[in-house]
Amino acid sequence: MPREGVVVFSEPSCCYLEYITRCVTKKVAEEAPSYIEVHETRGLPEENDEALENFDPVIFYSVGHGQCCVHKVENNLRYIEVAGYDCKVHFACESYTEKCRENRRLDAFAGRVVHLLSCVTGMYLGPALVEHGARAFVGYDHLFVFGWWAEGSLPPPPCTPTEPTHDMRSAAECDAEGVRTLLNGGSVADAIDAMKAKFEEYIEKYTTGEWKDWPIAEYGRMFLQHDLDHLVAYGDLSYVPCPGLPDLAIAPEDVTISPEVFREGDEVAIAAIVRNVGLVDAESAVVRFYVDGELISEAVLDRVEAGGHAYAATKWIAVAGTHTLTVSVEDVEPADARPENNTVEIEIDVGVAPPSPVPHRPSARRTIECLFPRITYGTLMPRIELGTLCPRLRCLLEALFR
Amino acid sequence: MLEKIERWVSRLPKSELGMPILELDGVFYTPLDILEEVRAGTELGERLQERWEELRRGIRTLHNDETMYELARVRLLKRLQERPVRIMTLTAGMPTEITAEQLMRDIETGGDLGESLVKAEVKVIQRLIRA
Repeated sequence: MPREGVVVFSEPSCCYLEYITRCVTKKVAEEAPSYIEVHETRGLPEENDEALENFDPVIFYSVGHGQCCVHKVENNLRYIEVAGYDCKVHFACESYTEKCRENRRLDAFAGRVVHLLSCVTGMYLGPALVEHGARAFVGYDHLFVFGWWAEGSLPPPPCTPTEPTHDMRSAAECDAEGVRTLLNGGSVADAIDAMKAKFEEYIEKYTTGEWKDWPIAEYGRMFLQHDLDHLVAYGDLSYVPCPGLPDLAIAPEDVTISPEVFREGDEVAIAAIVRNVGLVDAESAVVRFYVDGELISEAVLDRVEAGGHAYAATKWIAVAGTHTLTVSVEDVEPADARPENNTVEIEIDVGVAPPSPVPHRPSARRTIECLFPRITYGTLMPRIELGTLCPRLRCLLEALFR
Repeated sequence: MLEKIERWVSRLPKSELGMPILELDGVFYTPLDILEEVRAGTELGERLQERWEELRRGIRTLHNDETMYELARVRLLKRLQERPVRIMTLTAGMPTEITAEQLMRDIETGGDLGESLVKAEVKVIQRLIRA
């Protein structure tokens, strides 16, 4: 089985393909989540073969020229081909025929998602790849128009931003939205929806939006509509090739220290909200509390759902002086997508003088119970069972006026 | 009623104001033609507005489909002649760069790309009618 989360981008530069690969595809590769393994090739057949063999990617995204039965890569070399078809194009009173006489690498994509940005490969080549075991195919079943500019001028150099007189990027960007969606944990169907939405967005820009009065607008809306009309996908569209990772995060505002005013010797409650801003559930994690780098307590989180949150808390007997409190989410299973948002450091100043007497001030333990009524305590390892904040106010008031 | 047409015309791209967008009794009308007739309160204006509203609601008839196709073809050829463009495609076995003249020829002779572009233009007209 191909390795999920591993992607190969075939990026030829010949034959005008650098308009897409240098300016659009590379950007998608750069913006891939850090846990995704992206391998870029120059689109040479042997480099692509090596990348397929060495990295066993779940996604193969390739930019090239194409016809109904063949996808060509760098130097217009045939890379994937299905035998038995003559692709005839009648264009401007001339006939162009591309003959396919051998099966080339059809079996090399078994289990993979193949996305070909090229003309007409969605007609016969895409279905043939799926028949030979590709998990899914995304492509186009007609010519793909990727650039347009006002006649009388030369085409702008690659990577020129879209301007009123030329657009060499929008179509490719709409296509790239698909692979971007896959890299960020979407299914193939999600990728198709994202591509369609991007096409719609650009067509609207050209129809009633900010680009509507550009000299090339009337062409922009038509060519994008044309490309959109011929987007096709086959195979298992529910498949998610890069299922993603949990992303547990903690921010300074998620850490509460209670009471707000305390002095040396006071028992202080420290509570933290840990959020999962990632794509999948975290099965487990440990929240560790450190003061000046020394571990004072840890709490085990059993499960944090994607989009959900959990609580962790501890208590600490304040020591005079300035201290650094560190709350760190560690040992995340499966591995955390962005460890850089897992730690928070807070400076604490603890005064030496005894606090002014406050009758009936709730103890730190009591405060924790107020905040998180379902926490159970170990000696140094409070086990958190996702408390609720609802009774917080009532509980605090009871403690204060008891 | 006039307000609706005025609002619609104001939302359209400037390049569309003089382009045929609607057919009635075998004649093509531009947004400015429609606005003028509706403003003048003529019977033709009333009929144009009815047709415009029918198209906005997306009512499909064989007549609509056929005339839309012809309208799209006329628009494309007019545009390519007046404001020529060049394009690039990702096709193998034929030139990557295509001129406006080649595109016009392809549309006139019912070539593969020409036919497909006319169909795309039909959808563009529908978008513009609903603008």
